[in-house]
Amino acid sequence: MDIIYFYHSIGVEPESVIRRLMSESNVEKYLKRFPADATYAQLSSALEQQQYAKAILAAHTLKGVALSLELLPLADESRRLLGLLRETSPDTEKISAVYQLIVERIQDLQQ
Amino acid sequence: MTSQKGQRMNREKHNRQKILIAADSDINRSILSDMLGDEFDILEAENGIQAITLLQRFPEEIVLAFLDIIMPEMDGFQVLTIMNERHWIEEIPVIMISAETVPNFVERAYELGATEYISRPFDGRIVRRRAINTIMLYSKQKKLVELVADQIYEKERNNSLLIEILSNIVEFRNGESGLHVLHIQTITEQLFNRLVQMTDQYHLTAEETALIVTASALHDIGKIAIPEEILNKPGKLTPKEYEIIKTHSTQGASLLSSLPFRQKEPLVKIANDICRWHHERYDGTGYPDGLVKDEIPISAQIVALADVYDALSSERVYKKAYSHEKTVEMILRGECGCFNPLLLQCLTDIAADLPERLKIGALSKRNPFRLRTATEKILRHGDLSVSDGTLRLMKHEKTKYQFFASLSHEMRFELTAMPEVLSLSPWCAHQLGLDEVILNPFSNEKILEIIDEEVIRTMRRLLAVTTPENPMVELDCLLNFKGKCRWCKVAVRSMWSEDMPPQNTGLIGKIIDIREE
Repeated sequence: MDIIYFYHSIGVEPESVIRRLMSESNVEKYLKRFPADATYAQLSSALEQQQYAKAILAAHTLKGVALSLELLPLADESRRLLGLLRETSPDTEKISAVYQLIVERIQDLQQ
Repeated sequence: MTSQKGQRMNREKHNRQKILIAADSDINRSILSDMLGDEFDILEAENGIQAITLLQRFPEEIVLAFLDIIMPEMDGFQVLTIMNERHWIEEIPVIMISAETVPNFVERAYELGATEYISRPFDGRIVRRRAINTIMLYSKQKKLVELVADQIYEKERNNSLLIEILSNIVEFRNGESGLHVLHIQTITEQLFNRLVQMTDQYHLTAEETALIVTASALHDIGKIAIPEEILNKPGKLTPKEYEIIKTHSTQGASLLSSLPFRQKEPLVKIANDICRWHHERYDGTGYPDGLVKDEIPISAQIVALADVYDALSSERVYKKAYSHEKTVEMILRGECGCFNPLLLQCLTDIAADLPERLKIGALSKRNPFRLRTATEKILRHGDLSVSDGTLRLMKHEKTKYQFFASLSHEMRFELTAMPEVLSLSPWCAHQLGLDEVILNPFSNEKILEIIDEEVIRTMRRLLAVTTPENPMVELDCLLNFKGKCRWCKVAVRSMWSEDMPPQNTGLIGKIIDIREE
């Protein structure tokens, strides 16, 4: 299967990505690296462990890579997930940072 | 391939300009790298901290930085902020890349000094063109800055050279060595530096202070009009001869005010004040006008004190040299007339280091450091960055330092203030199992495992009372080396800016294992 066929199979017109990345062989090279890219695994494990800040970061990176390679269905899904995470995810890291800061300041006060 | 050819190719590769690409996805980094890699060496960073490390390591070689906005550890905006704090942004243009197209992201990037903002997905040819244009624009600007800096430098060097020649002629006739003028300049500078730390009542800018130091060399030019027999008379002067000598202050001032033009030049005005009034005394007992207290311009008050110090501590035809201690004691006791109490306090404060500084001042005279800092200041005020040409010497020193640091097994570190970034020498990082660059080190868990918070607090207390004159602090403490606790001596020196008054800019230090001491 060549890359023209591949892009058609996921519903994407391939002209734009080939023009942007300057050759078919470039596009093919990056595509072949994509399955081994760790971003998706990071996203899944962050979601499993409810590490929302990490999940947001990974979803954003995945969106970036998908946009670069014009894997548009994946880019759309990453964008949708990112939106959901940003809107609804409990921001536990921020509260723990603020909490720690305040406790430290109080300890300074007692010295 | 012959080894000679191989070496040449290595050198060519080594000399190529570098582009930094910071993005968290390696596919995205490769895409950019392939677009640019033919003509440039590419340095890749997968997060902001790595980007800062590389910027720190190759400040002169990196000609352009691509920064992704969203990255782990430290994001692109934080990297830009640090680049601003450290003035790197003046030398290294930044192109931001992001899959975010939210207007306030774009705006913020430009506000922080990014040259371009590129959204994903981007076109390879366009990115390449933008990168090359940006590099060319910056290098043209750098060349212009260099030209301007060299011209200012040349002009100031000539000015200063003429003043030195002139004052040396006077001194030669006066039978004194050229050292007197150098000493007056050094003492004047030291007194001023201390004075602006103590008070701002005289509203002195760094430029004025520099001019006063230059003009102080001219304080005795009036002696050119005094007959040589009187000037160099070994014995005691008759009252009449003394009256003639005393006219050198008014003669000097009238020499300057009879210049046919340039009366409005600040240097001429300041030199005039100094010539006329450097024999006035704070209580009104001086000459020629018997001015009292701050009726005497502060420039003349300071040069008067510097003149008396150097006259007492040097040998003259009519007297032997007094020791430094004796000189200070005589001045403080009022044996040479009455001086502004604030200036006497300044003299007391700088006294300990003064003899050493006078030695260094005389030696470094051939090294035009003061000129270079003045040039640098002018360029900063003009919102231009400092040119390569005028800072060659500093770069040379820096390269030398980095070379020796890389060879030595010394545990050195540097902490910059705002933002707090700790940089460790490779050996230090290796020994402690830390990264070479750490942002906000005092909230970093790994650091807190190595050094007790109580020790950090003690160190901060000690550092809080350091000054540019007394910047050193030493502390013995236990440090955790990858699980093994060892007693170490930590020697730290606080660092200060060239501003008036100086601002604390961070610190440098060294860790010494006490067993190896």
